[in-house]
Amino acid sequence: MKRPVAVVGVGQTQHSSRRADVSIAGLVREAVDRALLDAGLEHKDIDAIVIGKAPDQLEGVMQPEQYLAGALGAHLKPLIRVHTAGSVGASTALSAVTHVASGLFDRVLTVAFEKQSEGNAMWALSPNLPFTAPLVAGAGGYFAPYCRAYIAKTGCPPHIGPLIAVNARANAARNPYAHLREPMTLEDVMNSPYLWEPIRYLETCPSSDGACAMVVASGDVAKKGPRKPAWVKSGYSYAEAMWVPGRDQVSPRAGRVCAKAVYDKAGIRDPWNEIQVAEIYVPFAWFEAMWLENLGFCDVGQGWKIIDRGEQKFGAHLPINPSGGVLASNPIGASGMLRLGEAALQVMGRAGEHQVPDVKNALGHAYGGGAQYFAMWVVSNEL
Amino acid sequence: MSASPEPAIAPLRQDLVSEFPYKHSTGEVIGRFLAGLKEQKRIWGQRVAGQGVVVPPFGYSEIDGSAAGEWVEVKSTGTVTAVAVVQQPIERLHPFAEPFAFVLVRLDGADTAMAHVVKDDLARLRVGSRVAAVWKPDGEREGSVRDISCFRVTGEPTPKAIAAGAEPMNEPPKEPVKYVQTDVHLPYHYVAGDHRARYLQALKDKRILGSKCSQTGRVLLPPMINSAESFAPADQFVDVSDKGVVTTFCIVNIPVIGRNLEIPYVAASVALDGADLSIFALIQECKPEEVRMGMRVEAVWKPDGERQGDHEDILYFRPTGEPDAPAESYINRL
Amino acid sequence: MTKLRNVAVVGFAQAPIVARDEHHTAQEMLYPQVRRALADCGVERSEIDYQVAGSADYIDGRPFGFVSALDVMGAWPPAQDLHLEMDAAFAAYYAWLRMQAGDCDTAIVCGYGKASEGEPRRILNLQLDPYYQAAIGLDPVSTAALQASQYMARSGADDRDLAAVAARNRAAGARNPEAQVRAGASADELLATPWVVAPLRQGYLPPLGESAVCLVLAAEGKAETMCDRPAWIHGVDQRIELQTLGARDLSRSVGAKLAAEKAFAMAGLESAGAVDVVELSAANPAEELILCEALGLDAQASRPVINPSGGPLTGNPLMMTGLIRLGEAFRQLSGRAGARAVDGAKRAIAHATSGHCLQQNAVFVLGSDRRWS
Repeated sequence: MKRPVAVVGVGQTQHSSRRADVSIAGLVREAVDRALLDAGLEHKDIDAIVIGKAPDQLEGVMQPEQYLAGALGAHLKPLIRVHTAGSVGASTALSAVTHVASGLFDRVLTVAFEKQSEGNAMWALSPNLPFTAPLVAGAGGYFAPYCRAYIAKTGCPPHIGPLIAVNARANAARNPYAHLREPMTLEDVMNSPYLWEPIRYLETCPSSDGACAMVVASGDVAKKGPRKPAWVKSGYSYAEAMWVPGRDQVSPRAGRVCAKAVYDKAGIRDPWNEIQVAEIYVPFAWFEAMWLENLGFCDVGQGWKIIDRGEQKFGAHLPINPSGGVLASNPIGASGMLRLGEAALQVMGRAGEHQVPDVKNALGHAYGGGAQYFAMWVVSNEL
Repeated sequence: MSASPEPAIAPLRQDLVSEFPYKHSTGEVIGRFLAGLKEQKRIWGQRVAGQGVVVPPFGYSEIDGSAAGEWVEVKSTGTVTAVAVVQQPIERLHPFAEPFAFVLVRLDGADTAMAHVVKDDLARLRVGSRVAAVWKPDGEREGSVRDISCFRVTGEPTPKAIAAGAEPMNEPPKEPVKYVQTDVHLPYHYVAGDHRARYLQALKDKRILGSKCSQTGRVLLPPMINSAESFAPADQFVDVSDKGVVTTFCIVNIPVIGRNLEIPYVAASVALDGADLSIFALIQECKPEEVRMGMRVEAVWKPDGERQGDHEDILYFRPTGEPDAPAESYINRL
Repeated sequence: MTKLRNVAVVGFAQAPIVARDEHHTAQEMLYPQVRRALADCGVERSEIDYQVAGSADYIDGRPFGFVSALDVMGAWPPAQDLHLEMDAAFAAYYAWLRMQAGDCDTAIVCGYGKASEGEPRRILNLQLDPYYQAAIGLDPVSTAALQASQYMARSGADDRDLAAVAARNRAAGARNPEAQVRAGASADELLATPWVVAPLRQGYLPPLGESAVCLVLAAEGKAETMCDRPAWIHGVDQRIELQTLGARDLSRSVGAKLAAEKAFAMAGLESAGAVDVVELSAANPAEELILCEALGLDAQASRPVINPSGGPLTGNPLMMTGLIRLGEAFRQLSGRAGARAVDGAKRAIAHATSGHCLQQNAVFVLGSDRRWS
């Protein structure tokens, strides 16, 4: 990065199963208006727009950023549209950071959204593909075998996934924007049916409509306020090929490489102790244990023990997903940006009821594809 | 690039239609505009910064993103600002089967033009023509832009002032039309590519083919044109066994639109003997709870004479009854 | 003007544009182009810092179609990567931005997509807002015709003027072995072709076609080792306009005009007329005339030469037409343009577009010499 970049405003929508009260533009503008307000800026102050979302078959509108250009205040401004599967919200934010880091743009609006209730998410994500046996039933159907492999490799007991799910809901109760907020008990989860065994219904993310927006700006702009900014210490997005013999899909190499790059650049040598909060992309409960290892918070095989000891709960050593995370709200295109945005809110001291005290460094993380795309950043309360 | 040593293969094609009835919620402004068409037979715009009176309105200025202002009714007559005459309408896309025109019409009182259609008098139609809306009858309007079925060329001059007509109204109906439905219907005409075509064709002969990396010798399944690992081409085809081991799996208990697999079913990652990549496969002839990581399985083929050279030639995999493979033999081949 | 990092196009490989490749998937079409582009630059995949692609799920006819491209782009070991749901020219723009940020020194930019697998006139209807514009069944040829009619009404250009522009592009395409349409055609022949959507005749519209492309970018220090005659990027800018057709003056491209002004200022270029070659992503003659006006180009002057490649009229593979314009500008400046070479070409403009009726535009200015010292 050529020059310092900071998050100066964050906004998000009320996430829900169906935002029937708004058009697609209405949904996106709700998040954008809040981000601009948070940043103390107006559309006229924005130099460029970076927008991202997941497959357009989810809404039945191709390249909706074209229709949305007017709604985003993008008329006669530079705009790019990012799409990197589930990680897109995060890689979109990182692309906005690059715009500012280049020296060519001082204030960039970045937005990510999904209004998947307008179609059918399962259908859109698992269409009948030509020349292929139609076996994979949704994202869960793809990932469940690797969750099983994690459980087998580590000897992880069966209550770990449910513990994660219960904790996500408990966290979401402190986040008024979250989609699923009702508390659950361990019994509720363990009694819920398997969707793709070993993944249970209550260990699975919802299908949500929602949007997230941020304003990222140069150091000079950030220092002028009105808010305490979140400094982007590092951010990287990596991808790996699918068809590599022996590819580790339980702890993908691209995730490990990306995390190392992000920590090294941010000067973090001991993530478990130098990061105070992490918002990581957990669409199926078991991934929380898996990602703790992939992200270097503990050794291989030890992630589930952190959960068992409750060290990732709100108020404990390293709160994970105090917002409730993807298990509480999953507008697919937005989820990655929500992770990065929530990490920024924590550093800015603006996470309200789910604020973790004394946050210096926060990690925001997202992944996508067949566990191939990884995009993350570390934000800090100091430059 | 090394040429494939295999003989040329006939193209393998498949047609699939992607269709879905999307429901796009309108929100207040679009919804009330459409309600104005449906219930009042009136056309409403909104005054916004940088654009004047926008018809049809979005609720914001597309010039600067600012929120919209007051509702303004416009006339159902206007001037054509662009004409596109479609000579051969496209079925299930265009609104008419006979030649027609798309137009942009700036209605009297509006500062922007709306897109619509003209069905008749195409020879008379040009940029600058005067047109008037032709409404669908009461009872047939649904709350869509097609509640105006089309515009017709009138030749009448631009009115000097907005004449007093029917009872003036301040606003469109309070209750918006909630959704606009789009029945997406997209036919696709895919090609398999020669590597996949060869693989599928060989299934007819009860052969499973992988492609071999020219650099490392690793066998890719299904056949890929290159190895991502070495970045070298993988154009040589080799046979792979139809027996292998379940490396991991899940039990699927959720139905998917357009699929007819009976639930629950086991979807497994299977490492076939001789292949360096695993494939997803259905496991049957045992109870789902009997399936295990490491279980040896074999393909169950469609009978001779019934195989077509497609992925259904392998019906599923079933346990062979052999002892399970040791964990170290498959745990890194998931 | 701020001093920026000198970045050049150092390589470009393109599959011939064909109506339909019956033997390869979109990603399989891309693999040999990536190999060739790297080989031409004399580098291994491992020496490239960054990869970025442009493609669209709806063109691929499946969600996440771009994920399969990771394997043919060589994303192993894991690579820093991005994918845009846009013409690959915008991916090149982003790679250039990353180099300005100091985050990479070399990049491969890929474009792929098989337009023949879908029916683009149906698919691209879905780019329009679902409430007011897609709802009446507008398709990209119809919207282009609306724009052409508005341009002709304002400017007085007529059918013959469009035919003349089309004929010029067809003549150029005949000299381009990479083009899809390789037969010249006279204005009279094109005037005799039937209307598809008036005022656009069949002769004014590209055929459906597909290709795969890989362009290599490198920053100063690396560029010189990868290419004997790099095409240095002097300036670049891109702008989107609002989409609503009736809320735009379709007869003018204010976005292309603004993008050009900004790109020219960055490049220190006094006017478009001062370059030798201009490659425009104009998919019909009216678009070409509108763009010439926006860029301040005389469409009838013999210099600069406009679309020596034959332009999109002779080959318009969706999702990469813009990147091909950039690649063609590179070929002209680096002496790789064969029979279509413009004599003494030292500066070029390449234009890319996205959306209906030139809604979004990118303008690149390139030169044989470095811009900043």
